[in-house]
Amino acid sequence: MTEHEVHTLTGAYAADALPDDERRTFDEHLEQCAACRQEVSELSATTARLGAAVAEPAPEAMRARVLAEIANTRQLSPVVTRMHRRAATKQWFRQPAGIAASLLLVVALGLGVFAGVEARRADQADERADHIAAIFTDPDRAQATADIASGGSGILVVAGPSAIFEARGVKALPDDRTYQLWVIGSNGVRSVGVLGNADSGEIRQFVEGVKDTDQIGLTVEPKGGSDQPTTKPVMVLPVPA
Amino acid sequence: MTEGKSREDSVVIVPSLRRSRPQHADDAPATLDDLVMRVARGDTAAFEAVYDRLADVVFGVIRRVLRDPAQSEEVAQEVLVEVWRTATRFDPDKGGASTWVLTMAHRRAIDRVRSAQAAHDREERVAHRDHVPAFDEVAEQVETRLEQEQVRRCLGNLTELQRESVTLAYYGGYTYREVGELLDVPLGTVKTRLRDGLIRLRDCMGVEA
Repeated sequence: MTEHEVHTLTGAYAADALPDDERRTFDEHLEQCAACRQEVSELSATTARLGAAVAEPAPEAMRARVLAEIANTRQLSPVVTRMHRRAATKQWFRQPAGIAASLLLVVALGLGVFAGVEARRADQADERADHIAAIFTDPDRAQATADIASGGSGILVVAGPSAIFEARGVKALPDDRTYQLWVIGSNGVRSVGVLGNADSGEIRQFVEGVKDTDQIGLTVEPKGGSDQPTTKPVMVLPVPA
Repeated sequence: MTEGKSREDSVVIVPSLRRSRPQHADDAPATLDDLVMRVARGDTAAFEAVYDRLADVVFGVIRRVLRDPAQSEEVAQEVLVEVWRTATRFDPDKGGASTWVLTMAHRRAIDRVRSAQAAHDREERVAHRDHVPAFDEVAEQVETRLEQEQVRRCLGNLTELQRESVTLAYYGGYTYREVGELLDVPLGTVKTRLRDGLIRLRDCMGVEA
């Protein structure tokens, strides 16, 4: 699709008239295209006016139900701002310095920006961004690093049962191979992400449900991933307590 | 709402929340944006005010798309709870609160329409054109119910194809591909008519993002 053709999708996007797959593609385009974001923003404000024009009385009983439900609903944590992220970074630098700290800084900035962009999207992304923010702002977060045998190094930042794994300087694999991330626990090994061939040299993955008795393992698998690891891990990281 | 300073220092707060401290006279009515930012701090009274201002438009737009009153109520309830839950992510720099809420409401209604079974049903409907409400019928219902004179007037300024495309997509909840099918025009034409139509509406209504 040419640049011009992509640009004409702003209207369909603002009217929620894109099929889901095209919507996702356009979402990605939006991150690159400031002019499109501005236009989508204006056209969304326009469709909102179309929506407001068809107001009709909401069922009266709904009010009490909504109010009862919010009493039992936790609000999302706010997205961490750039300013606060810098403050948090300073703290990290006070911790043992070296490659771990600088790598963590890169992770924090990368994921933080990612979180900011994602937060504008729908729920699932909202929750993911929420999790990132929660991990990086958790005062009890812990981190661990390890070298990857085939090149590069990985870092795991853990807060409660959630963790973020990031690796940099990773050796790119042939197209028919993929990196895969595993949680190795007392009950066996489970996959937590088929990560692709790392042709950018970077890997980034959320991991849910980790315990400090677990280990995180990275293996090379056939494209599409495996049910269980089929090769010796190129990296094993104990989940820090 | 009272907040200890020491607590605030240790809590991560988006700048919009800091800005939301009342900057105007005490007796000035709170704007919707202000209210939503108070909701972000857990203010349930502010949420009730937001509810009272927006429940009818949320319900209205969802009902417009879904038709079925019970389903519409269910989705509207979800959306309003979502306003509470995600108010912490509202950023007035990216558009007003009513746009934020209405975008969420319309999107949820569309998600409901496009759930697996519904998608199947719609394919059937598109395949059997007889069962699809004629465009005129949709448009008439919409236009007779439009409560805002301006919107009606501005819709009237569009070309017929622009108006049909916008109305079927937004109020009808159809994808642009389905709109193309219903109107029997090429997909590229639907895309550009949707965009041109919304741009013309934007200019006619004086919308600023």
